[in-house]
Amino acid sequence: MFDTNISEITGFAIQAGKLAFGLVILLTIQVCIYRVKLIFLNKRKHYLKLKWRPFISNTICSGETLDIVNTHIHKRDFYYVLEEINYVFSAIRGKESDRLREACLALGFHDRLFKLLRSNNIRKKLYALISLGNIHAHQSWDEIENNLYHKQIIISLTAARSLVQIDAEKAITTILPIVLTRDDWPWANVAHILKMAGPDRVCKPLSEMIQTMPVSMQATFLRLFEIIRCEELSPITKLILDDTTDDKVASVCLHITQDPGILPQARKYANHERWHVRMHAATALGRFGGEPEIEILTLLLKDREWWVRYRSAQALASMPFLNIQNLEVIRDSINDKFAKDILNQVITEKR
Amino acid sequence: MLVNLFEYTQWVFLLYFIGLNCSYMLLNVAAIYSVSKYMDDKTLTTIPGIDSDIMPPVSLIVPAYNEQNTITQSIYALLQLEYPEYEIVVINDGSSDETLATLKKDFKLVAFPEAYRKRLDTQKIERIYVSKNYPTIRVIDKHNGGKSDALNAGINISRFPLVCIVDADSILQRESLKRVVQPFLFDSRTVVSGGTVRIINGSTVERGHIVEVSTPNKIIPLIQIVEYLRAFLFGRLGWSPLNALLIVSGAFGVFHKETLISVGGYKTNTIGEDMELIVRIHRKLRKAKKDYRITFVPDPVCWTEAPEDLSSLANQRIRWQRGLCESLFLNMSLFMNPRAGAVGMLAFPFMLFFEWAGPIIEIFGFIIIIIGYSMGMIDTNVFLLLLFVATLFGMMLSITALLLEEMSFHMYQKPSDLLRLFIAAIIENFGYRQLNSVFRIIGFYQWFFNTKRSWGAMKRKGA
Repeated sequence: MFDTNISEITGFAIQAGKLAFGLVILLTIQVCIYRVKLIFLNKRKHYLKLKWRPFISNTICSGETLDIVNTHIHKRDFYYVLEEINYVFSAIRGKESDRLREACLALGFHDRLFKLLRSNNIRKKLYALISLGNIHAHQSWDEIENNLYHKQIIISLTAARSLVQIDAEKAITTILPIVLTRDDWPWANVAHILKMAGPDRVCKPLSEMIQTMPVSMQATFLRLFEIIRCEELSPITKLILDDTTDDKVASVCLHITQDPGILPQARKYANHERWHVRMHAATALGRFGGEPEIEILTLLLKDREWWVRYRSAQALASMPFLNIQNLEVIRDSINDKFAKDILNQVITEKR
Repeated sequence: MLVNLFEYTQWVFLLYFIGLNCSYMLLNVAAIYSVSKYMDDKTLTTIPGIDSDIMPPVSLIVPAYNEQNTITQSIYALLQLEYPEYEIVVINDGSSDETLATLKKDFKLVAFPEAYRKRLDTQKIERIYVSKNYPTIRVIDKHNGGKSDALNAGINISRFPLVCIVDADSILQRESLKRVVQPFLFDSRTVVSGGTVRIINGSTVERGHIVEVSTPNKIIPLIQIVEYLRAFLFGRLGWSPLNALLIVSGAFGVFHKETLISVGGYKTNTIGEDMELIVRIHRKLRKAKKDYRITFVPDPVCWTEAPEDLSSLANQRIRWQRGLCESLFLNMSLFMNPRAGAVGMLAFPFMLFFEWAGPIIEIFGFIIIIIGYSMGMIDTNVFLLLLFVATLFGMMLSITALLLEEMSFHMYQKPSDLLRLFIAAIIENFGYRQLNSVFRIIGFYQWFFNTKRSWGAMKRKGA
């Protein structure tokens, strides 16, 4: 039995050893291949950089498109050229951008990009979407629009961005309804894309949408108003504050509003059961309030929640008619230790 | 009877060996998939763009204990991070050297009457200071209570919804904070995001930033580079897609502050406070049936100095093993708990069988083979064959880590560096790994007999 066992172990060890040895060799070869590929790729990139940078510079500076326009771009170099050109597109505006766009079209980019867009490969699709957006490929609009519904977030968001680049006004009417259905789109990216389109195009349709959308989405969309810097923000926050029963929505409205007309609502919300609503109410009272609000804010300095106390103290300190001496008088008139401490801290910060 | 016992023992070791290597191979496959996907998705983080208005403000928590020589440089480096809004909270944990005096002098600190919230219990805070030159810097001077206690004090004082834990002696890439905060923007369920830590020995640092990445001449840190590649590139990257990551490095990690406080902050009676916290977050959030994500960002964002001498290495590894033991045994209810999902059914048992028990079994296995060989129960050829196979598997895992590095970030640009790493991947199997197992057994022993703990000191060359 012992001998059998030893031979079994030996047999097993030999098989395992062969497997491990084979894998070590394969992995080593793979590492070397990656390194060699990297060296060649870097050399090729350097060569292409020397070849294409003068062309791009001439194009954007003077509109001269040299002889290179007649040069065929090899398939393997196409992605690198696209990278270079897209990089330049991100840094230029106006006439320079138009010149580069014309040069790209003259080089026959559109047809090649359109083919790439139809590929199932994510990377190729991405290259195509970014580049088609940069060259304002109106003729590919429908195909790009189809990609808004792509299950991959990166594809759908890049498609949205391309549409905004091609025709911002038309894109917004297409994208906004989809934003409501694509709860997988990170709102940070949505905000960026809408900001790219500009407040003139986004704010009006967004303000119409926001009043009819489900309450659960309102808070997020209200933040978009602030980021995009919409003028419609103030009337909307006032309207919503009148009606809403949702504490998150109320919180966001109080936080972002620029409308002094919400002062009565802010006073009301200063007694709200949720601390974050009281905190934003305190900030709003500080922003728009007058002498009558000092009493409310002084009461809020005793709140059980640190943030409410801190924001109330900051609100008092931000009131233009209260100087350090006035704040010290308020501090000395309070018996509550927590209220005293927080006001003391904010007075020191103000100093 | 002795022969029978010997036979059974051999089979137990063989099965263990098969299980260990199969698990690592599966992790490798998961990591290769993850790294390819990550490199593709990386475009997502740059193409549609993230507006600086949207990045949430972050409090950097920097615990410091006897860091008088490095603290100023570290904070200057932190001040150069590319991030729209952040504050730096430095905690002087009762240093016995001139750490506080250095901070006071270099940053013109003035006492500040902060009405902070004591949401986590800590040792007494003597005073809070704010910098006159840099208003975003605050310094807490507190009684000594250990790293965890210092971190808890920093969390109490922090003002922002995300807290980033940074070791005072780490060097961060300028864009590191942006990268590690991004998972919070892309997935609102994210509660923790950890970054990759790399070894700085051998690289060139100027004004607190890496200017050239290179490998060290000394063998101990060189081998540790391969070890770190293995630990971060396939260890963590493999578990991350399953949301079963059990470690986020204490050197650099971003936390959702309210979650951190809701689980009780850092435990002050443990050594591996970083791992224990992550395992506890899993346990508590799984128990509360919360949908959450603990994410790992594979970009090299944080650089740290590795021990160059055996005694510092021994201290570090003993501490790590103790930390691992404590973290697992304090959260044992996760073990094979189906309600804990991949954490309970895969990651926890993996850690328990292969990381916790690994060194004991490995050393015991070596002893058994040597005894068997000396008693004539193992043929010389079989003995050498078994050693050779074990070495090959060790090499295979290390070379996979090199492959992942080449597939993704290839930080070591010079072919000579790659060659040195390759050599390190081979020679670490002859002595270094076994020595490490011995250190880990000492750690295990210290945990079992609960010997004293302290801030881990290491001989530093200084970057």
